[in-house]
Amino acid sequence: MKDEYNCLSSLISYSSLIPLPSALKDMSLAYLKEAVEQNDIEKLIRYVRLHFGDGNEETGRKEIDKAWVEALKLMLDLPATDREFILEIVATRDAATLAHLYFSLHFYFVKRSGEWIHDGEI
Amino acid sequence: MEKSNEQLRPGLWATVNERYPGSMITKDSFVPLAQLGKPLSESRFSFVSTAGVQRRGTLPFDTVHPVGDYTFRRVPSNSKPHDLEIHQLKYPTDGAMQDLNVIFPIERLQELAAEKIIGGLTTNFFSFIGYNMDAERFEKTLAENLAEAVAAEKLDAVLLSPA
Repeated sequence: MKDEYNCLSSLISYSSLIPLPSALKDMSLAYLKEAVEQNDIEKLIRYVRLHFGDGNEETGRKEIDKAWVEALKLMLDLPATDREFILEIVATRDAATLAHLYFSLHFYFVKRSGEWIHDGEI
Repeated sequence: MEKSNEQLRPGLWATVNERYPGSMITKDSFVPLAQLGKPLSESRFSFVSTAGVQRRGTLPFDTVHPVGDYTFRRVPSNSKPHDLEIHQLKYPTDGAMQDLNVIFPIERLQELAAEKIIGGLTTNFFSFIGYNMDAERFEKTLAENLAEAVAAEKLDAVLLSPA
């Protein structure tokens, strides 16, 4: 088992050979968990913007706005919506699943806007 | 070559850790690659890729999760490109959508096996997405599970390809 695993370990190790700008070293999962413990909202929202903006904070801010605008546009004419479905989902699903749904909906509405900044596809 | 360069974002390298948080992993336990013990023409090969390639109709990789996806997919090595699709947010997929072989050279490997240049292919190839922010989880779950699945294919060598 470990012999076969060696190749993957080597792949991970290779990245340690790459020099990294010191200002960027902090961004990691541990960094975010520490920010949660310290209630450092600025660090957390910065990461959310970086995530949605493919590494560009300002782009991420615009992407978040874009998703909300797209959602708002769909509601201005008061179309019939399945509110029972919404209430059931919110009431019966755990918060982590709803958070996952929240991230999914962001990309759904960004995709729907027709302006897709990301390199790949969801 | 000019076409390829157009796909690279300006300043990509300067922001790589912010595009892929946690990707810059430092490990001291470097393990040398294993040596191939028999001729290529007698060796059974597998292929592992971070390209996010999967069979159509299977659960898409979770490209929206802020901390990444730690699962892998088996890709039958006798698949045709039209049997497969890509779910991966973090690299330009335009070229791969035109010809999957540029990122996941499944037909080239099938040809090498058919021409007896290599001894054969495992029943399955493997793919996952490279956006994995939790390095410890990556190593202890995805890497371990994947290594076990690859080893179960009774192979002599595996080609590893980042996307």
